Amino acid sequence: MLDFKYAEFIVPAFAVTIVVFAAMIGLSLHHARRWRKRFEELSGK
Amino acid sequence: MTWAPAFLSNPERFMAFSRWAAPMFGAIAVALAAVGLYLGFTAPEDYQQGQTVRIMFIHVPAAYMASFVYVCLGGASFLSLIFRHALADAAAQAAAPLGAGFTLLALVTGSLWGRPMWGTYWVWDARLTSVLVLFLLYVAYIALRASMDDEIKAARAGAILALVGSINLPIVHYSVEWWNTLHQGASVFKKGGSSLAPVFLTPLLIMALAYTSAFGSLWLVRIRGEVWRRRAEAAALRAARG
Repeated sequence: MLDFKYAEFIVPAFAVTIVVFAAMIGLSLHHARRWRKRFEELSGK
Repeated sequence: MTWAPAFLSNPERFMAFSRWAAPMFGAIAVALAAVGLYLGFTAPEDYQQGQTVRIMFIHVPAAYMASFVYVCLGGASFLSLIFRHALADAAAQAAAPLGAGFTLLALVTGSLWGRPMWGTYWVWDARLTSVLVLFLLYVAYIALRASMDDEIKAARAGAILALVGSINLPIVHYSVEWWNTLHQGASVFKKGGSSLAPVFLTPLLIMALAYTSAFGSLWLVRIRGEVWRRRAEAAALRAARG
């Protein structure tokens, strides 16, 4: 199973993956929600 | 599947489809990633690479996605350039930031895998350099689109850049065969079958499917955002004209 040899490379690799995925998810949802809200304001929906 | 682009080229049909497809792909990605990571972390350590083989399960899918997303960007750009279709342009514009994200992941996780295996974080060999060029192409595409106010001109310029940049894709793929590289050659899809043991190959393929499904979900969300943005800007223009 797991030991901590090479942890200084494995942990950052997984941490960076989580951060980049979180950024891609957060920015994508924010972009879609922002412009949907803006469209609804402008079109009076 | 030739019906799919024609079917989805209608914005109303696309919005109705993507409304349920985006969360569905997202849920599939989460489920696949959970299984893939479980199998990846319970697999035995590699006899040569030890525990660092775990990085393979996040690095290889990211590297595959870096090229796959560029194929999507190039395909959407081609359709946008030939048919002047706004939804194809929205798809191209939506793919670029995701491609940049996956390519960044491939570069960083590869670097963190390279240090203990090769003794260096970076080397200017053909594979690493061509993937860096791929990342810069994504950044250039995003910057070009952001620098132009005229949506039609930006779409055309972006599409040309994306199509010219696609020459880098075969270079990325064949770089390990055309040149002597520190990066290893193909081991998953190669003549004579994969050289990976099933205990590593299974979680790797599951993680690749998880990444693909995650991209599918995020791409649809971003295209929806682009459609809303264009509709909002058209509504603002109508309001300004009275």
